Formats: sequence, structure tokens, C-alpha cells
Amino acid sequence: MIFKNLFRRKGRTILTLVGISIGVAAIVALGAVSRGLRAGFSAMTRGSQADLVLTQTGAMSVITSSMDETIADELRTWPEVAAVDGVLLSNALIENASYLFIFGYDPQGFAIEHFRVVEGEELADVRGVRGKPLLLGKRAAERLSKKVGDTLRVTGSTFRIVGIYETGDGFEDGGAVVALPEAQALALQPRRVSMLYVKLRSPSDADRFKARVERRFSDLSISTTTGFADQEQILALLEGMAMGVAGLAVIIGGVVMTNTLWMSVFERTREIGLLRALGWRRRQVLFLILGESLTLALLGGLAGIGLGVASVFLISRASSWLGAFGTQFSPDLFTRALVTVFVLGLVGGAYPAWWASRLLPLEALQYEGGRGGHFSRYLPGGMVVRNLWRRRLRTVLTLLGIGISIAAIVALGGLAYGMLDTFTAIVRGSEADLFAAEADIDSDFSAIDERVGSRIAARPDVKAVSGMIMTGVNTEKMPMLLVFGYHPREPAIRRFRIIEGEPLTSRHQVIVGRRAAEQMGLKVGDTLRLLDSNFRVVGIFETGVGWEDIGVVISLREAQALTGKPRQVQFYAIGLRDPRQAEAVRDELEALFPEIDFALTSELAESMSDFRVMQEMVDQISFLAVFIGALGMLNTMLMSVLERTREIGVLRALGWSRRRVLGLILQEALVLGVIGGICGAILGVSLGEMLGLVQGTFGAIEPIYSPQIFVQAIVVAMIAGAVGGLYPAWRATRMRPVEALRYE
Amino acid sequence: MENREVIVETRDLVKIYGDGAEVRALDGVNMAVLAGEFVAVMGPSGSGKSTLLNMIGALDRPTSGTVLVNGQDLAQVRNLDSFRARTVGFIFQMHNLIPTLTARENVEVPMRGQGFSHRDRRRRSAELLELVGLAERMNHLPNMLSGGERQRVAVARALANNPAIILADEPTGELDAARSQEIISLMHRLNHELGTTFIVVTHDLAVARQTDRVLVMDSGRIVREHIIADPYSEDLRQLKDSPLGRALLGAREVDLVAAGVPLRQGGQFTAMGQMLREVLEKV
Repeated sequence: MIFKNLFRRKGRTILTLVGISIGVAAIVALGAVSRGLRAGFSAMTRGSQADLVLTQTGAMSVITSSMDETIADELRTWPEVAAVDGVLLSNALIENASYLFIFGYDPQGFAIEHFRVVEGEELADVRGVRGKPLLLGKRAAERLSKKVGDTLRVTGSTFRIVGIYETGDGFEDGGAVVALPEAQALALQPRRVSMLYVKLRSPSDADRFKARVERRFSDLSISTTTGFADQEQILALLEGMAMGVAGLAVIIGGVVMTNTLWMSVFERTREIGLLRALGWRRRQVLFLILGESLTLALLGGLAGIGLGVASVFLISRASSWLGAFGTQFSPDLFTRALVTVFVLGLVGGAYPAWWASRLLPLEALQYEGGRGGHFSRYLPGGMVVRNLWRRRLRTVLTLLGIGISIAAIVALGGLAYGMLDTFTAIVRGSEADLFAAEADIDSDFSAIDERVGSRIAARPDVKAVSGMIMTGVNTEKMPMLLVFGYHPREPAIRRFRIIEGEPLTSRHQVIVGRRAAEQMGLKVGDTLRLLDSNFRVVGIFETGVGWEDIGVVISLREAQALTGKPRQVQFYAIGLRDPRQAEAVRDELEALFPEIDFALTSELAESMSDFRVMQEMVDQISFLAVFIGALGMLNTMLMSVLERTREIGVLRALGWSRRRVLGLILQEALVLGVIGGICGAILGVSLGEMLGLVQGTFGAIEPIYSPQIFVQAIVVAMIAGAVGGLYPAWRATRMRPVEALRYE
Repeated sequence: MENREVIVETRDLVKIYGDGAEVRALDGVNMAVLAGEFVAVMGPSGSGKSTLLNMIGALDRPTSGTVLVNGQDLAQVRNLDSFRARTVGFIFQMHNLIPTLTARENVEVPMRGQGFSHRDRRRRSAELLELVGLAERMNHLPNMLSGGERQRVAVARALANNPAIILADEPTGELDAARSQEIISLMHRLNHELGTTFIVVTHDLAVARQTDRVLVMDSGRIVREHIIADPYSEDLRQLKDSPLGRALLGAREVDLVAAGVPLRQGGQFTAMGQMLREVLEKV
């Protein structure tokens, strides 16, 4: 009976299955990624043959963890310790503009041994090779089509591939290994490591060693190599995200589920009355409906698992990032997915089932289809609003689905614009007309030779040129302190308005942003340590731009030393004698220096590759939102049209034209879309504000909500409405009045 | 009646449903209805009554044959929606009111898109509801009305665009005898006052008795046609066709009646008529 009931309305059942399976697929896919990551970290630490791992306390991930490598020297003197190996993990941009994990190991250490070289030479054996030696993981080699002897450009430096290794761990095999000092230079973290592997003389010393580390280094976390992955906060974050997506999936799946069952119960009210009249007990009715709901959920769950596995497979092939992590499907994950759908089935089915079982047989037999409720006659907006009101629960759930999608667009868009605005403020403030960055590269990695700057400055139409460097440095007091390098005598530095102390004049000086000073407790006259140099705080500045106010400014020369790029700057801000000539000058400069991007400061947004990437991301998320929103809408509207088939027949019999019926259904979908859009926009703004409260770099971006974002959100919601409503509306008009009238 | 024009006419109307197992719902129907007539269509279930009504109301297209309404061939009508809205009014067995709309708004439904202003619609819906005696219940939703009231709203809705013809498919099928009578009387009144033509499909003899003419259908054909001059005579005629009548009368009498023996002559019952009358009274 359960299957017969489900297959009575094939279209609806399929739609429900699609809804549930998308949710389940998201759970499975994200779960597999985070598990893959966990397995990767686990394998990495376990493979090291160390007993214990030390990382910086409070670091989000081993990648952001940072500590002084001299700690290793001290540990080596301890009696419990047999050996210590420092490792630096970082993520670098390589020549084809994709990212690669770079592992910095001591070539002579014990931890590097588990990188089994399958082709070429070990890092320790390399002699007389031109260029810096690098071992490439097997999967990375396949992805990049590189072989032993080839060169690889990593963030401006050129490496020679001396060997290909395989460890069996996807995370490691998707990266590259270089000598520790090279990795430190690449990551701009001289003499720092991400973690320390410690080998003890005897495992029984572990407790004593731990206690001693805790006493001596309060800012270090210690874990066993097997328990290491559990401490990774990034995993917790990713797993949290997976949970979030699962939650979203449950909401959307729940909408679809409840929707379907409600409708199926409603339309069978008379039938249920009949069953009760024929002697069925309440419990039997309850189990019948719950049985349908659970069957539906489980079928959807199985389909979703298939979809999830397939999508992970496709994504990991398409995306180098995920491909590098590797993914892992455990039975546990599938169990979780199935439990989720089981709960979904129970929750989605519970209320309709309860409602059905509570029906009095007589009442049910006399039931005549949906009601408006007494309140509905007071609603403004005529049929459209009342039809939505008729199934309030469904409408609310649909709104929730659309709202969440739209919220994502608004929040992300707000942040993206906020970042853009901050950046524009920085550039504008430097009184420049043109802005130069290295072409076709993420702005973080941009590098321009100072000779280029001199040549530009020598042009008669150029008034002034200011070099700029922006970087992030791990300090004791702030995990990622933004450091700006400006030349003290170039015009761009003038924007840092000193509110206390004096401006920057010479070496070993730093001026600190007001908010950074507050957070680090710095005053004029204090000393700030950046990497291995000390700087004296000579002034506190304020620019009103969030990013700058949480950063510090040092002289360009020292910033170059800090980033390991002597005589190179990241950007040039160019002031012209005649700003009206900006476009012409830009064209000339671009012809002269093809490797550099010149942008009018007024058009910076469109030309910066970062923002293009970000915009693309926002666009992709918008697309996803439209998809999910449209799916929810499609479901809701299709159900709504189905259950009103007779009504539509009546309207047609009374002389309503197809166009009129189409219009009515489309209007309902659009109203739903617009309300969902507005709810989503409000939700999105609150979400953005909440993100803004987070401390650090992220918090420094003040989200900007331009009217454009809201227009975009509403348009997206309306598109979702139109797309989702079009088919049901079309379907409604295709019905012949006689058939519609006869529909039960 | 003689000078009135024909408002509905069908010629060799055939409707076949289904692809494989064909069902000839209408098998060559020829009929005509005069303007202002009140016609009942009777017959067993599946005899094609509703199908005929749907053809006349342009809810469905015939397989072959023609339907002429107001002298217009429906196959030639471009805008059937507008035709339905303006020329015919429907009353269904289940009142089929839109549950989210009040009585008044339900009456306004057919007026939408027909060039009425909002004020005209309001005015006319109020008039119509007053006409059917529901002026006080104008702003009630269908589920707040009784079965008879709902059907009266449906009648008012059918009248919305002042159509020439009202097609009713078992309008009293769901009502008790008293409510049925209310609806029938209402339709009669409208038939007299407004001159609207009524074609009513019914199983109810009491309803059929009050019409001008009864078309009896079976297997997609019109098998008999009665002009009802004398409702009582019609009752007797119906009775002798029923199994009960046969059982009570015996085969010989039935054959006599079938052979055309009159039941009443000059206001007096004939012997056969008297006999049937006695039987009827016993029943």
C-alpha cells in the first residue's frame, strides 16, 4: 500500500526524491572532504615516525601555526628527547596560477624519510643541480604534467624537480617537499616552523616530557601523532561547515518532505476517513503515513549518497585544491547520512501522520479540500496572497529555503564590496590616478621591479610614483598582523594621519594603526617585534579604513627585507600631472610594460584579479542559490498547482483564459520569491554584521551593502520564482478544463 | 414557444474517449434547444449526459459533428475562454467554489478579464447574491456556508456575465429534497424573469418533472424525448418504465402502455391511467 500510494503521484515522488537527495549529497560530499583532510593530516603525522607533535596553541590549522625554530634546539638538549624535526607547511601559488602545498623538511631529518622517492633522487642526496631542489608528489606531478629534471616556478622562485615521491596519502602526494630554509623563504617566515616532530628515547617518558613542555612553553600544544588530527581546528571548522550544510539540507529536504506528505494526506482525507470507517485504528493510519514518509526519505537518501559520491569524484578531478586533500568515504559517513534522512522522514511525516490519525472518520469523509481559514478573507492582495496563505507552513518553509540562499548572496556580496571599498580607499587615499600590479597573478603575489618604478617616475606626464607592499606577519600578540610598506618620502604615506607621536622617518621605526595599537596594547615609544627585527613605535595613525587601522606601517626598504623581495614592490600608485590624461597614459604604459596591469583607480574594482575571483565566487554562489531556490519554488508551486487542479478547471470553465491562469500561478511564485528575497536580504545583513564582529583581518572589513547587492538578491529571488513557477504554471494551463474538473 | 429561435443545436455529435479501448460517449446526438427553454437531460450513469453538456459548454471538443450555439459553430470560435465567460454559465454538482475567496469574490471570478471595472464587479456581484437571497452572507467563505447556500452562490456565479445559457450538471445531486427544491425554484424563477435558457442534467425525477422538456439518453444517444405538458402524466409514464411499475402492473399492461394507450384524456384519467395512479399512490 505504501509503494502504491507513493507511485500514485510519480512526479511528486520524484521531485521529493530529488530534494532529499541533494541534501544528502551535500552531507556526503562535505563529509568526505573533511574526512579526507583528517585522514591526510593523520597520515602525515603518523608517517613521520615521531612520538609527539608540537604546534602553536590557538592556531587555526597547522598551516597557520607558527613558532620559532630555536625551540627545536632547546628541546634537543632535553634528556627525554631522541630527535626533533621542524616542519613548515605552506600553500603557494605556482606557475599555472593554481595552489600547491609546500612542505619544508630538514633533508637530513627523520621525518622526511617517509617520503618514498619513486623516481629521481632524495633531497639529501642532491648535488650540483642548477636551481633549488624540490621533490614533487606523485599526484601533483600528474596534475601538473611534470617530470624529474623539469623546473617549477613557485611564487617567483624557480625550483628544479629532483625527484617524485609517493607516501600513499593524498594530502602529501598532492604537494611538494623542499628544504626547510627554502620553504621559510617562500612563506616569508624565516626561522619559523609550523610544527615540531619529537622522537622520545622511551615512550614511557611521554608524560614527563609533556609536563615539562607545558611548564616551559605555555603557547605550545602537544599531541600524539595519532591524536593530532583531533586538535586541528580547521577540521573542526570544516566539520562545522559540513554540519551547517547538513542543517540547510535538512531544512530544504524537510520543506520538500513535509510538503509532499501534507499534500498527499490532504488529498486523501476522504480515503483516510474511509479506512477509519472500515475499522482501521488510529495507529494503523499513523504508521501508514509514517511508512510512506520513511520510504520516501530512505529512497532519497540512497539516491543522495550516489549523487554525493559522484560529485566528490567529479569535483576532486576538476579542482586542484580538493584534489590535493583527497577524500575519504567511510561507512560511518553513510550511516550518518541515512540517520539524517531517517530523522527527516520522521520529522517531515510526523505532523501529517498525526493529523491524519486524529481525523474523525465522519469529518474526513465529508472533507472537501483545502480551506482558507477564517482569517484569509481579511488578507489584501486577492487570490495570490490567499493561495499562499492557504498552506502557511509550506509557504514559510519555502521562504526559509529561498531566504537562506539569498542571505548567502547578500552577506558574501557585502563582504566583497566591503573589501573592495577598503582597497579602493587605500588606493584613492594615495592620491593616485593609476594603479599598477603584476599581471595575471593574485595581488598577494604581485611583484614589480623598482627599476620599472623609476622608469615610470621619469616620464614627463607622471607627477609622483609610490611603491607599496602589503603583507601579513605572525606576531606574538596578533596572529596575522597586516604590515604595509611605504616609502617615508613618497606621497602615498601621507594618508596615514598621525593622531599621536610622529610620522615615519627612518629605519627601525613603525607607526601603528589605532585599532592594532589597542589590540596589542602598544604606545608610542614601545617596541614591536616583526619576525626577527625590532621596531620602535614612533606614532599611532588612523585612516578610517578598517584594514589599515588594524595594521602597521614600516618603511618600504624594511618591508622588502621582511618579504624577502629586495628592490621589488607589490604595487605602484601613480599620480599624474594631468589626471584627465589617465586613460591615455595607461594605454601607453601597458604597451611599454606588458607584464604589468595598469588600472585607473576609478576602475580598480573591475580590473583587480582578486576582485574578479571574488566576484566570480559570489556569482557562483548566486547561481547555486538560484538553483536551490528554484528547486524549492518548483516543488512548492508544482504541489500547489497539483492540489488545485480542480480549482483551475473551474476557473477555466468559467472563462478564464490560459494566460490568466498562467499569470495567477506566476504571480504567486514571484510574490513568494520577492518575500523570500527580502527575508533573505535581512538575514544576510545580520549574517554579514555577525561576520564583521569576528576579530582579525576578517573583522576589519566593514561589509558594504550597495543597492546593487539588494537589487541582485531580489532579482535572483525573482528569477528563482519565475524559473520555479514557470513549469507548474505552464502545466496548469495545459490541462483541459474537463480533465481538470474530473481530477480527484 | 413556436416563434422562439433555436439557441443550441447539435448535429451528429460524436465523442470517442480513449485510444485503445474506445468508449463512444456520444454516438450521433442530434438535438435542439429553444431560447428560454428549460430542458432536463436524464439517463443512466455513463449514458453521455455530462459529455453532451461539456460539448455545449465548449469544455471539450467533439470527435466529429457540430455544436451550434447562438447559430455559431463552436469549432469556428476563436476565443473559447471568452465564449465560456460570456455565453454560458456553469453550475456543477459539487459547488466547486474557490475556497479562498468569499461568496462575493467567487461570483466575481468570471467577470475578471471581461472588461468590468472593479466597481461594476462589486455592484453586480452584490445584485446577484441578493437575487439568490444571500445578500447577508456576501463576505463569507465557502466553508462558512451551508450546502444549499454554496449552490446558490454557484448559481449567482453562473449568472455573472448574464449568459444566454446556463448548463447545470446535477446541481441538486448533493442536496436534500428541500434544498433541491429551493435551487430548482430559483432556477425556474431566473428562467422566467431573465429568460435564460437552462439545460440541466439530473437523476432526480422531481427536478425533471418541473422542466419543459426531458431528453432521455442511453449509450450516447437520445432515446426519448418528452414534452412535459402535464407533470403528473409524466410521473405515470416514468413509473411504468421502472421495474417497480412492471412488477405492479404485469406485463400485459406495460405492453398496452407501450403501445400508446393514453393515460389521460380530456382531463380525465383513462382506465389504464387510473390503475397507474392507484399504484403510484400506494408507492
